[in-house]
Amino acid sequence: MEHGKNWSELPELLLWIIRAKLSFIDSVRFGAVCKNWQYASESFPQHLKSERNDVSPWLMVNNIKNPNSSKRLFISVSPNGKLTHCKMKRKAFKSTLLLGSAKGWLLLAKVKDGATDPDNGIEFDTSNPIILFNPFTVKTIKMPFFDVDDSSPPLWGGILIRNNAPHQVVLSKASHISLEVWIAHPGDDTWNHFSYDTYVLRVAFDANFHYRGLVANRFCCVDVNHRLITFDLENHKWENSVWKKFDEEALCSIFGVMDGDDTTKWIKFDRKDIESISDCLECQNSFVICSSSRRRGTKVYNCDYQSFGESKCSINVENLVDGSHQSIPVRALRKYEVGNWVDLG
Amino acid sequence: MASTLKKIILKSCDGKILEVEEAVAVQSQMIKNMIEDDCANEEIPLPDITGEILSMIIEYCKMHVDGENNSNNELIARDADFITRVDLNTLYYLIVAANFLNVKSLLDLTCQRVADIIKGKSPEEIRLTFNIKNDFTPEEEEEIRKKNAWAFDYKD
Repeated sequence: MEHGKNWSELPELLLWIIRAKLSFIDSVRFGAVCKNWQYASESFPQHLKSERNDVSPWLMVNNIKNPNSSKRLFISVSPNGKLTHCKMKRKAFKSTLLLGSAKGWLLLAKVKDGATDPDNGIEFDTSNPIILFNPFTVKTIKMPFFDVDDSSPPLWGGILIRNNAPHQVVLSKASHISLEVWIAHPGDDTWNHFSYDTYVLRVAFDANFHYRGLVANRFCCVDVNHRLITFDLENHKWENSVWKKFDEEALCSIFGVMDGDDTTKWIKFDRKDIESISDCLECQNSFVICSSSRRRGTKVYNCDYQSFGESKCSINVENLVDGSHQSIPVRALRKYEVGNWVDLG
Repeated sequence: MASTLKKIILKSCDGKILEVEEAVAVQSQMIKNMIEDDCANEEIPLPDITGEILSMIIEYCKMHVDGENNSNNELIARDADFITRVDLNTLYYLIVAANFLNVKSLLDLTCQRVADIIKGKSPEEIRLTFNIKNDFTPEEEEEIRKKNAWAFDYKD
């Protein structure tokens, strides 16, 4: 082994293979190690980036007392249980609410200055409320004008990624009489609107405590009674067996379910399902299911953001495959700060 | 019973000769190509691979051939066991050799290991771990930090 063991001089192709397995933040740090790694990082062909890469979610922290701030704090848990913090200052963060995220893209809704306190109702900035924003590349994509009525139920958003770029944006509102979906591709002039009348089903669809997510090419919505409605984003069809009972074995790996009495519990996950789902990230209601490669297992990240500001606040990570559990105290959070899980890619 | 299995003879750079069953040897795309081109009838010299590394690679390939009927999970567990026994020094030579011999699954496994070691570390921690010299000037380093300040602004 006398000749040439030098990590800095690994051939470019090998450095690319390694870099392809890193998250965005790790790959930036990778490029700052030495000149050779920097060159490899700059010449990295983006198509090598695996679509099925391991994903660790980030907690994006917002100070609700200062909604006009353009600063956001991001916290993530590395595999060894260490917390990583980074602060980002971006003009686009100013006066925005997070609706959803995928692979480094954030779906943000502009709100009127000082009007982001969810308890007092949200007043959207009507000039151009919805944007896609990538905080790393600072690229912004304006979505079509969306007429937000502030008396309406909260808006949910999701981003469908194809070839590592935003392909479709989905917005949704749910009330006890209808489930509504708006979809648009970046560059479109208008939103395509679809509505599902839940009252014709003769069973009340409980819009409270529902979970929404994008799974493969489907928008899925589950209510508190475990009932599921899906919308096919390609064919623009509500699924014909829409009102079937929520099938625990098949779908629980996508959604966590909260009990009626406000306690979070994890339902039984089918091992096969966990292994077949990759990169499934759900950022609703303070918990996230982050499934990654078979080697890593599937992890559930949970942070009770209601208790932010109290000294005992922590992020819990549960690995559903091997059953291990980690609880990592978070001290960086202050009072009035709320976090949402985001997929920074 | 006389074995009819064809053996491939590999010679490491430090002169070690290893006889390998063809089924195991063809895990290496390079050797597979040589066999197909009828160039593997004599010993194959491997100028950059030591006997120690070559034995490890053969152990790995054998594990994959023997484990063909095992479930995926078992193979993953064995892969994990194999790779966590490897120190950083050996890992380097394994990557280079897996690349030269073109053993795709091993290349993937070893590069994943490096990525796992890098994850969550600052550039300075990465340099210390892999014994890499910082060859940036202070000005260059400052510029990199400025460009992506968010990636370096952390507390842990």
